[in-house]
Amino acid sequence: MTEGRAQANLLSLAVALTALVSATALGLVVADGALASADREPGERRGAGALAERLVSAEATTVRQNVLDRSAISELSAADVDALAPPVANRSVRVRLGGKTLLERGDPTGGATVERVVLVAERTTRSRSLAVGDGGELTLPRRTDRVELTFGSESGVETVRANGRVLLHDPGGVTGQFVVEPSRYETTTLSFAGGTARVVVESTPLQTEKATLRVTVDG
Amino acid sequence: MAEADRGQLSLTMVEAGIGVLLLFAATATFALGLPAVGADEAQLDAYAEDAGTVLSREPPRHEGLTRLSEVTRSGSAFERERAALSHRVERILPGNLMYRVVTPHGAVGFPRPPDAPTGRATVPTVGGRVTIWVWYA
Repeated sequence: MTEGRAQANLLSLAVALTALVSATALGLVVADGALASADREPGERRGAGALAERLVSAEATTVRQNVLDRSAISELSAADVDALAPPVANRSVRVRLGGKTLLERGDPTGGATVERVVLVAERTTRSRSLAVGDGGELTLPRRTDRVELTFGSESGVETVRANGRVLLHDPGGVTGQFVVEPSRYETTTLSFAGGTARVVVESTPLQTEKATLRVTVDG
Repeated sequence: MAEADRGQLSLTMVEAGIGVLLLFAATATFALGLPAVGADEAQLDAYAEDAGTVLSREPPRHEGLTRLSEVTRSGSAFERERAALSHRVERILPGNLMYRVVTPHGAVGFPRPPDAPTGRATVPTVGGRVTIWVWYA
């Protein structure tokens, strides 16, 4: 009877140990998995968010908020990126605009990606030369915030107005080259008063198209 | 004798069972999972914010200061501009997004799903607040 008890004890001890060891092993596996998935690489996400935010708002790369300057953004270099967004320094980074890769450093596989909706603007130049008389008017075909006026030396024009607001005035006649900045929220009509002149009007309207800016940061 | 046998066997197994339960309790705290990162919502908020910024800086089609203040001016201005506004929002946002733009005079876009993660941005204009909602289609 005592032998029987002892045997039974030994058997159940073995079963108990096996159960405990397997439960411990299972627990360790699950804990390891949980710890691995808890590592969310906050540095990557922060870097990607910061770089995307800086690219769409920095003076160096934009015309205005969320409108990228095509020539500035196409010359983006790795040094520019580090200067704009210090959290990105020493990490792999890729910047894509539309379907085109603007910049790639290292080989970012996975990592954090932030997308921003932007417009890409390009300045186009429209130049025309015309003779204006007293009371002459010119409506610019596209809205713009920058117009360059060049008057000949024989100019008799005394006042130039944009939508009724005085831009240039000289009682002796406006001569030379001037840059004026009308509002880009309304169509601009230039009017000339005081005499006749030969004038070159060069307007630089912005042409925009939509695109998606995609910033990936890894490592 | 029978009682003694039962007692000996079950005591060890009960102890082992309690031990296993304790270990499972610890395991369960790991297996319960972690709260979501919230990256989806952050990205959707960025989309909505960008759409609001782009629209609010755009020149109006007819009158008003900007495109958004134009649609909040009056009910008739909103009716006139609603097709152009929804067309413009559709053009600006990436193709995999749905949107709803709510103005004081009405809304354009799709009905908002009650359970999907959404991003939201609000742009104050002279005629009232314009709220833009976006979510993944």
